[in-house]
Amino acid sequence: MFKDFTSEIMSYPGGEKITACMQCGTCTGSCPTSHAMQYTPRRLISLIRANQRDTVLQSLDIWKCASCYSCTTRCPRGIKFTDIMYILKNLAWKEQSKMENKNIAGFYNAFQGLIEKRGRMNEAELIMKYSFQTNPVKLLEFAPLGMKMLLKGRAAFSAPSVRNQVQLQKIMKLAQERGGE
Amino acid sequence: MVAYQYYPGCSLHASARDYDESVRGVLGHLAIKLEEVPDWNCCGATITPSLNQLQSQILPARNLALAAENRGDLVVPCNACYMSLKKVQHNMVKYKEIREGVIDIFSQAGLSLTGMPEVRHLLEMIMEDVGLAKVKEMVTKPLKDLKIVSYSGCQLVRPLGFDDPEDPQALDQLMEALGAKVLPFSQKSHCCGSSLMTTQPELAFKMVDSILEEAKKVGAEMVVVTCPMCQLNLDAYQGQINNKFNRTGQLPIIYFTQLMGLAMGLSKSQLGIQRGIVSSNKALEKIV
Ligand code: SF4
Ligand code: SF4
Ligand code: SF4
Ligand code: SF4
Repeated sequence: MFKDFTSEIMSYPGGEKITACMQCGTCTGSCPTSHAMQYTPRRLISLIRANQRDTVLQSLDIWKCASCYSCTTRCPRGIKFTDIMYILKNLAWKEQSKMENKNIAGFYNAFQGLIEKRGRMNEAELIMKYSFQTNPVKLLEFAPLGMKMLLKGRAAFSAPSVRNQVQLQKIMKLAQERGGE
Repeated sequence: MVAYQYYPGCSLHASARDYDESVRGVLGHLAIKLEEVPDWNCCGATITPSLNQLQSQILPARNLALAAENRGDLVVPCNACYMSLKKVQHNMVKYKEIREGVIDIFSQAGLSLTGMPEVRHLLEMIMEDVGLAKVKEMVTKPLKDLKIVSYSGCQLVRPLGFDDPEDPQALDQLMEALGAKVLPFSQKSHCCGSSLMTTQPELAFKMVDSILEEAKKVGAEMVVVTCPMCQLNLDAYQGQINNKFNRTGQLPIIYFTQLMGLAMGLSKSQLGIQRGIVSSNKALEKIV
């Protein structure tokens, strides 16, 4: 379908300029989490260009991106690396449904599940779902903070929801089906 | 009375109720009317775009479609929501496949994007439409000698944002107009880690610690924020972070609208100031 991984990335919105990269490393130097990455932003680009698809998509480093747009703001070649990270995560999510890191997968699943179901988010419920999907002991870790938030009136008691759930679920489903190819 | 549409986002109905209270308090005081977008949905933050690009356009786009039925710019108090909304507008202009995808899906669900509103962050709207002159005029209790650093966070000022991405100015200027003493701060637009706080706290703890430590070092008594998620990360997790890195001292994290309200004579409780996990009482002693 695609000649190589580079052309695959270029086919998605936001990935089109990847071949302009001159490996200057400004992105890595600007990235607040690159210190914890084996494959930093600059290296990820060189791996993509070397067609190392599996190495890139299996790396947990792409999930360390906080979407701060620092790399995108500073890249001298106008590469939107934040968007490239999103493209990589989209592909990895679609293809490696069993991600190695349970915490990451569990959180994303919990968040997305709540949106697809009700359309609005409630942090307390998100934490509950997340804990049950990963390790219920986590609830104990969150409890002291949850208690404080509750006392300050910063926790919602009822689960919020959009009224037109049918419409929201329909457009999310259509987008899911369409995003497939 | 000037009227705007208001997209509070999920946080302002729950963990950031204090932000919502202060937004409504201050804008009411300025005779600005806010109409909440009917039946809005979560914008997907940074989570949905990580999983499915088209879905991440659909979520904010539905809010734009609902807002398109009414008049007035769309005012947004959350940095992440602001970025999501601006981004889908940008993408729909720039990428044919996104434009066609969204329009096609919406046509099957009775939604239309004709007459999309202008999206503005609350801080942007206050700076541009209210203006510093008017703000100064409204100040009855100047924040005399209150030493603060302003922390705009990242998503507000990045590619599609409205201020300098490296050294944002708006929040500093607004705080000075209220009479506060704004201290020099190099991490105004550094990232706090957003949702990494839950999935990979070891990364986010370090990011927040670095922000708080510099703020303490320059002598700040408070950190002023423009986003519910920045507030949550810096305020609610501060205790755990202090323990982890053996830090002393606590810094209250306050919304810019709360300080505006105080300077304009509104009461602390009206502005939700008691809801901070780190108490602001001591820092605010000299002004209230
Ligand atoms: S900053 Fe831009 S050009 Fe430099 S390495 Fe990163 S992506 Fe490539
Ligand atoms: S957007 Fe992601 S990759 Fe880019 S600098 Fe921020 S955290 Fe690093
Ligand atoms: S970004 Fe956060 S506050 Fe904004 S709508 Fe989404 S979950 Fe809610
Ligand atoms: S500083 Fe943190 S919460 Fe604020 S906009 Fe950036 S990532 Fe989001």
